[in-house]
Amino acid sequence: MRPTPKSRILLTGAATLAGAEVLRELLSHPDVDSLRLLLPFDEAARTRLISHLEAYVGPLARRVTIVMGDLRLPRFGLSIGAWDELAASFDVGIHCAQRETTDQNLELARQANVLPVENWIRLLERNPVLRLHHLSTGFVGGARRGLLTEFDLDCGQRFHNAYERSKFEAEVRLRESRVSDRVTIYRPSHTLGRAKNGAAFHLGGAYPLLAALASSKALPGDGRARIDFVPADYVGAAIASLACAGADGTFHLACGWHASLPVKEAAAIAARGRGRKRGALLLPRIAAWMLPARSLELLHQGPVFDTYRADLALAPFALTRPDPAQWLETAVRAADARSVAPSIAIDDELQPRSERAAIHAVSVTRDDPAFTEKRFHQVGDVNVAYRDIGSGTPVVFLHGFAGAHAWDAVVERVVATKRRALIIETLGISDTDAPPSADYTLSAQAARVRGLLSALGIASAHIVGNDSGCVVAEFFAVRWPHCVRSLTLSDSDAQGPWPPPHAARLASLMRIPGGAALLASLMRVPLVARSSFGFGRLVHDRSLLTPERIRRYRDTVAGTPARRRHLTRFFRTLRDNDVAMLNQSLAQLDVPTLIVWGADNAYYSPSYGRKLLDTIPGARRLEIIPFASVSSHEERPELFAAKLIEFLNEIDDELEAELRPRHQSSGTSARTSRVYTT
Amino acid sequence: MRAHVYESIDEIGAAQLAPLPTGLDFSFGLLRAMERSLWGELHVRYLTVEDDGTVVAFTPVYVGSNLNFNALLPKAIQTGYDALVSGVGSAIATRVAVTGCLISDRGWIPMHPELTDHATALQLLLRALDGVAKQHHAQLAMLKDIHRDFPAEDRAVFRRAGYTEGFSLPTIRINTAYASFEDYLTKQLSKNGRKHARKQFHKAEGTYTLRAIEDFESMIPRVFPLHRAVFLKAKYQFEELGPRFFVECARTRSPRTELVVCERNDGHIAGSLMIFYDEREQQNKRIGIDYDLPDSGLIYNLLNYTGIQRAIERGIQTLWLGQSSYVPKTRLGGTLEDQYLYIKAYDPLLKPTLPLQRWWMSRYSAAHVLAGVEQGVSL
Repeated sequence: MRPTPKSRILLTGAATLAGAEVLRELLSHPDVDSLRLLLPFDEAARTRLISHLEAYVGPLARRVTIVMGDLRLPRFGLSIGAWDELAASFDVGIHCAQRETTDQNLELARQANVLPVENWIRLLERNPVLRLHHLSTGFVGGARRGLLTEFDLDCGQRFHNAYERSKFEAEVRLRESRVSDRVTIYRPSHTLGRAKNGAAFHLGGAYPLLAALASSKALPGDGRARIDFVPADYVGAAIASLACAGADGTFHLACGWHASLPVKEAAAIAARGRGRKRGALLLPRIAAWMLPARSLELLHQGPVFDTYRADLALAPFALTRPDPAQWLETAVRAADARSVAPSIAIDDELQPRSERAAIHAVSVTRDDPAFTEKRFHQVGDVNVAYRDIGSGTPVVFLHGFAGAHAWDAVVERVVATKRRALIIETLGISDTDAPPSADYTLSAQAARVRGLLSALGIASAHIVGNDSGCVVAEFFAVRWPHCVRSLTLSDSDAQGPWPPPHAARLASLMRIPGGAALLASLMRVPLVARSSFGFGRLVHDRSLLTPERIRRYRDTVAGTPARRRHLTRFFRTLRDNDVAMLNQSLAQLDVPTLIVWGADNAYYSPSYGRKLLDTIPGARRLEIIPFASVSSHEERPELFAAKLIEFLNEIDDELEAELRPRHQSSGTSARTSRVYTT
Repeated sequence: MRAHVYESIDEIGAAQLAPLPTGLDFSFGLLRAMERSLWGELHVRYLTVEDDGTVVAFTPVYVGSNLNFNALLPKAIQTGYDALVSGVGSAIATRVAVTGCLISDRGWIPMHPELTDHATALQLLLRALDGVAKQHHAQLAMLKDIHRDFPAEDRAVFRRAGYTEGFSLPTIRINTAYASFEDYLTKQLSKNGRKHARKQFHKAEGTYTLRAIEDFESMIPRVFPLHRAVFLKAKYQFEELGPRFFVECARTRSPRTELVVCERNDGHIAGSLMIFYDEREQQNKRIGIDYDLPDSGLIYNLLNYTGIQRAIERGIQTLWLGQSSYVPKTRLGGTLEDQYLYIKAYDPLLKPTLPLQRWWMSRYSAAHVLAGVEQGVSL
């Protein structure tokens, strides 16, 4: 390392788990002369990121300069002049932006992890004194068993997921480039929040893995294999210190073999953090076929990180590697506390006392008859089942395979905010009844929702959909955008291949005479019902799969002969849904939209949510529900409802603000609907 | 006499080992470098037999499940074993206790020159080994690479103690008792060998230069990737050593170490060779080559010739070249010498496999390997 003058730094990916810690360190680092943050062009997204960052690291206004750009675009999306200006405006680049999702979507992973590196190389070629500090990952070692040194890259390893492969490709690209001598690479292991208090900018990184360890009763894993966790503040401090000191080479930011925990011990500590007495039972690969495969590989023997160079380089900064045994439990507790944020209570605190009293006066609990009373309305040849709860602005809830009752906990909270909930049951997986000739496609179901709303005199409503209900909501919004006050899409299954592979398998079963009955019988076997083949993947935390809940799921889809017939017809028409057209139409949908996704969605990772966010022009944000699968609304109802209510309030306030001047000027009555341009 | 088990070589101390013929392979510095760079689930213990506080016999034992103990067995067994461990987990991995220096070129049990009752000392040592193996739940014990020069009656003690004897990879020795390198070329090498050596030096002229560095710790970040590349390419990947091992080797003074570096004209390091030596012998211990260069074969030969040259210049009589790449090393004038592996199974499931292992390993006899070498087939 050589002593460097005060650095002018450009930081990308400040809104990542490690990036936020790097930013925190740089803000107080004496060797930083000026600090620039590269943030998205989109103003709303940028404002949101800044406010989140300020909430985490303190005010930014006077300490940083914001540079707008898109890392994936050539020249970061800047003009040639602005590009040259950018290249000359700093000496040290710290690239922390990355897509951390550990799925198999290589295209998205390359876009987010390799393309920016290509652009960085061009930027470095522009300015010969520029240095790049690149945040990679120790898991570029993939499935290699044995030592992974800081000098290694290509060891003939295979990769578990697109994240590992894309980060590997990015490093290869950097090593092979002409600017390789000006690149420093940091490879952290499984990164979690701060060691002291577990605080984390977001629950990405290794949190899904930690959640699996903390909440699962059984996991596919090797109890004696080691797992290497490292806190984000150590990673941030190491990167900031080494970057300011002008370090070069590759550094493993890991706790190392001796401090790393055997998976069994890590599971026990994580479970303790969750308040459980016992850690997950670890099953070998050959016995774990019925368990979800997401974390299968990461809990087995992988690379052992050698930290020779990092230890040597960090010694002058007195940065020691915290022992995971000391802070892992804190990390779990902090993550848990965060994932069940008491949103309603917070809202309550912010509201005037009189309003709070009014809300409590109109709130409906799940014990009230109004909550359980099921109504029917004939729309065409279909007798649509629904529940109508509360009064106020209408909010329509559409469900998927978790059933209509999965919405109950969320609905209870929504109704408490002076809103009217309409839980409309999806034909094929509910009590909605229809003759064999009825159209079971999801677009037809959307039309029925429209029919029911007309019959109830509702001109427009907030539409909320989950799973297959989400696809119905999308069809509805695309065809009748003027009837949609806002759209909330949760864990949609229309963004990947259609029909979804798991649904296609069930559809094959349904083609066999008696397939639905066979399925119902299989679901009576608790082991099968709880397995991945059954309802196991609907939730992340399988302890939620109580016998009562399994019975409810089973009854929802195949409880009676009539329901089994509907289920069969539903699956047989899956291929008739024109999802490709729907996805094209979504690209023109300007309705304000909230995307909510279970961080541990076992069918579609949050990257699909991200894709949806990028596709829908009106999409405001993507909210990730940690420790939740496709039924995020049922697994984490407090958090889901908090996000939903916050969004509904935001939209209602906007509509009110928009209508107020018109109302004052024209003297007409307030409109209950809003026409959105497409 | 009593057996003792130590957890660190520092507990025994260099002075206690000084009277023993530890050679380079069991030298204090090398064992300490190994101990300080162990990684993964691998433990080391040091067994000694002491008589009135004097160490009369000594050997290190490495115990763990991440020892590549089946590297000499058929590929199918290695693949099957890996798949089994991968499917069932580390719990099923075979724990092995390996006696001897893990990176030795040849092995023996260092015993005090004045010790007369070798059999008793060895029996005590083997009993201590059983104790360590039991304590660490080892299913298999191995006495690694016992060289043919180790007395036959002492080797018989191993067999009597229930160990199955089989051939291990032969080691390669080069006689370096020559007045000069030119003398070596003339007397040790065949006409073709001589021609080949001179051609190699001629080819390197103006392109590559070689220099030896004694204090090479600062060079490690530059040369380690080359050593790593050779390891990753090797057919038999026995001991996976991190950069810390090289650092520790650079720091040790017993044995003495040096690094021969092959540099291209532009300063790029094309290869490096780590050498261990004392007054009597030398080992060309670890070689590193930049395989991205088209001249990797030339670099390999240059490094080895320079290693030989260094030994001759120092008046060292014997050079050990390790247990691999037999074809090029015999061309350098090396001769192959038999070594034996002694295996004992504690696990009843492994016991029946020992005769088969013995049969399979007969292919590693020096005669058999040499026959292959003559046909240009290197192990």
